[in-house]
Amino acid sequence: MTAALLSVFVLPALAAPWLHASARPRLVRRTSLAIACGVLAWSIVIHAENAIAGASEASLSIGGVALVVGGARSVLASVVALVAVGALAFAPRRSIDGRAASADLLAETGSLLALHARDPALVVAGWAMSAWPLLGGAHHRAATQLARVTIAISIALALAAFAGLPWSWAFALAALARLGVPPFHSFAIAALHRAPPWAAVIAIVSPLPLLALGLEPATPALSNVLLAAGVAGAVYASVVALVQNELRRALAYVHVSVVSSVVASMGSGTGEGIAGALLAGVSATLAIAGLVFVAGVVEARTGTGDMRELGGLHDRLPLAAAAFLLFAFAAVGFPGTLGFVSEDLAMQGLAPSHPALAVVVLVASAVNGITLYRCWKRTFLGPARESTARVGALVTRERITGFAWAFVLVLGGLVPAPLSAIRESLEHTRPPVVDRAESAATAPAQRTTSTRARSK
Amino acid sequence: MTIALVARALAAWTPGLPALGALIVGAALLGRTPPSERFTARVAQAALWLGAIGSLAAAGLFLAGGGEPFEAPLGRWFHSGDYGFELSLRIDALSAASTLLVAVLLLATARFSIAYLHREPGFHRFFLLVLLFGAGMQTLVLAGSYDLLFAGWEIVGLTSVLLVGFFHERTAPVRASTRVLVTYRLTDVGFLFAIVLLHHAAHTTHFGALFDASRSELPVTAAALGLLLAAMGKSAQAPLGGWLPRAMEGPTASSAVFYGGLSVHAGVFLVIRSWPLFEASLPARVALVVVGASTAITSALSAQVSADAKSALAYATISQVALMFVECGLGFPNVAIAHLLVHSLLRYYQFLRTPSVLQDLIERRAALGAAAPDALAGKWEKLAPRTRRLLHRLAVERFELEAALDRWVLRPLLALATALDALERKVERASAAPKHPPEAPRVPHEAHE
Repeated sequence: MTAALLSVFVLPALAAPWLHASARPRLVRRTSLAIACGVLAWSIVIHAENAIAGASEASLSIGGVALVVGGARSVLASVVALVAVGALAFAPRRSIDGRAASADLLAETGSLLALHARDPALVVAGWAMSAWPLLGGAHHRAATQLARVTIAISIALALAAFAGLPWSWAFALAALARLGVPPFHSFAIAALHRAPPWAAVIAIVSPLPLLALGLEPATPALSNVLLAAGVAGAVYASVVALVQNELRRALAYVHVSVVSSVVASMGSGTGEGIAGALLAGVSATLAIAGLVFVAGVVEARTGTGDMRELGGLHDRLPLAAAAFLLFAFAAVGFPGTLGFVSEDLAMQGLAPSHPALAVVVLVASAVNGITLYRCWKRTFLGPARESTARVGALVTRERITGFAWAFVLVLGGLVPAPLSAIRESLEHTRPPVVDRAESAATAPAQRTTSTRARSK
Repeated sequence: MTIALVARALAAWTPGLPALGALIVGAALLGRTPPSERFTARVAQAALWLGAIGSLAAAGLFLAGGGEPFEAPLGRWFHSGDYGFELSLRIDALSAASTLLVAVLLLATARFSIAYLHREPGFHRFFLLVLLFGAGMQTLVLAGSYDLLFAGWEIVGLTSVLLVGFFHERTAPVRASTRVLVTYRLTDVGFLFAIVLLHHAAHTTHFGALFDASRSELPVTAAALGLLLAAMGKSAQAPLGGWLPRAMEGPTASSAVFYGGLSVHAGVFLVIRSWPLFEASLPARVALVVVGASTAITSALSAQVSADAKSALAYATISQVALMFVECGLGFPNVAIAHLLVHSLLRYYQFLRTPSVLQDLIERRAALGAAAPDALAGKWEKLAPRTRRLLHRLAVERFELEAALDRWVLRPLLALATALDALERKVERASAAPKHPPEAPRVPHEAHE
């Protein structure tokens, strides 16, 4: 187990500098993809071992670094690793050079570190590393500048706990900023719209489940803040998404809306709400990442992401059209996909205590579904245009990755039992970072009644 | 006993067999070489025939049991803590009759479409969607709980949207499909909300357990109104019915089975299935009557001014469905069931015959020797000219319901969204501006002389 964990964490970080310096693009692509697949395989093995042993979370130390492994974290680690593989597999060959590959693997290491570390400083370091593809400055200026500002705010808030701010509040606000919940969303929009798809997905979409894990509200006041921020953000982003003409920008707003819904579900504080939120985080990560990847495929082939210039791609890219539709419905909770399971649980958690807010979140989800369908319609349906008439079909790696992606989303929806075990692992619910920080604080932690109810 | 067990198994597979057929056709489409029309047609017919046998088994079990409703539990899909999504089918008079109706109409549609869509580029896609629709519709009518009924409801909605946009190379069908999706998605919020409320109050959404419980414990009015909203969307009731005439853009066979036979009646089915909730809530029953009556009148008038046969049929369908809402609201759900069954069959046939309606009219006139007298026209002529002009204008403009929705809901929302988007882009541009603006180019000293 220790050796496996070590390889999961260390191998990508060790490989990153070598990849960055390498001048052989083909070797870089193959090596980085092999490493990412290796991390994914190891993550799945670790999760399977935990599941077979019936073990929940466990603490261990590697080289003096305190980690928490197992339970929900092993599931989320697999999701992070899967996204890293997808980012490399879906990206056009010319966009994956040494710099891109090393950034992808560094970001993956950062996410895994943030997910498993007990030390708050390491968690914060992991956050920063997970945004590396955007912070490096090689992309659109707006995306880079906004990312730097927002990540700095996020880190500052996290570190503010050391200066005496209540850790739960500091962490929650930091997480909201890092997740891109309005009003901290501008960097996420800019990145998902303008940065290369692989970079945007790794830095913006992938951290959702691990950040959601730490958002469990410790006090009723914090719960209300998360609820308010989540509901307002979900509605705001879903409305603005309606008027977008650029495909990836529309997907960016849908992502922000879905993330905000996850935050609102976490804010409910109930067992079903939190379980639903975590599952929604997993589902949204995979679905939105899939959508962004397909959008990247379309953009690479047509040279444009403006839906006013797209259309009629259904005949040229039928598999991409089918994949986009499937991912879209997974993102908004269609039956048979993981999104349906998570939305059902989230609503069971939110509606009884906040029925009006639940209706608002449902309406936002419905509007997101409309936006995604319009994106699909404008991109793939209608008469063919000059820009889309000579588009090439999907290549083998894109087909294989797309199938695998769709398989996971549908399998997770039809057989959600392994993922719903996330709830059982939440019996030890407080994130280790919060436990450790608050145990050192003078005031005892306040538990909500919902937390007590959930621990029954 | 063995026969009963076999019959139960067959009944349990009724929704699953069309889904299996869809899976086979879908898998075949993913191959390098598309399957032949014969293969797809045979898979579809086999799946639908086996599903029909399951429907017969379900109906037979119901009759053999002396007309007593029973449930067929299928297990648990997922759970979290105290909450679990149970899968079970409910066989009673309503579902037994409905599943047979669904099976018959699907078989007829498949048989009709094999010839109608021969050599059509979307032949396989059509059958894939019809099989998925069959799975969804059978799930909807046989579901033993609101959770499972909602899953079928969503599948029916999705396949409806995709079939409206079947001829996707044209703009009009694609636009119409968006209209259908918007209506379905927004009204389904009511359904979801009702499910959550009922689950929270009764810790179950099983029809048997739910309707056996004391009504005073249930939020009957809120749940019934939520379900009514969903039913209005699916059954195209005013003011949400503008999508149905536009949905005629799809193939004739899908128009017949969706908007003549089955899908458009799903809302009525939901109301009848939820009758114990509506029975316990006077405001919900009043809402049923108001919605139904207003829709019946407006749609009947709109049908009279429709320029094409399919639109006229669509409005006539809406009008009849609205009357079923009124029947339920007045406390006669059994009348509504009978009305639903007969109307489905009649309207399905009429939709299939629509391409030949002109030919039928000519043949009827030839047989009668003259045009048949129109009793309604006589009554219309007796109205005052001003009244006739007013009614005609309102009917042509569909009573300005869509215009009102557009003016008071859609346009303000889009204007707000556009303003917010402009602000967002301004922030993004500001963050992208370089810190130090480039220096102005130096003009050589000689230029000044």
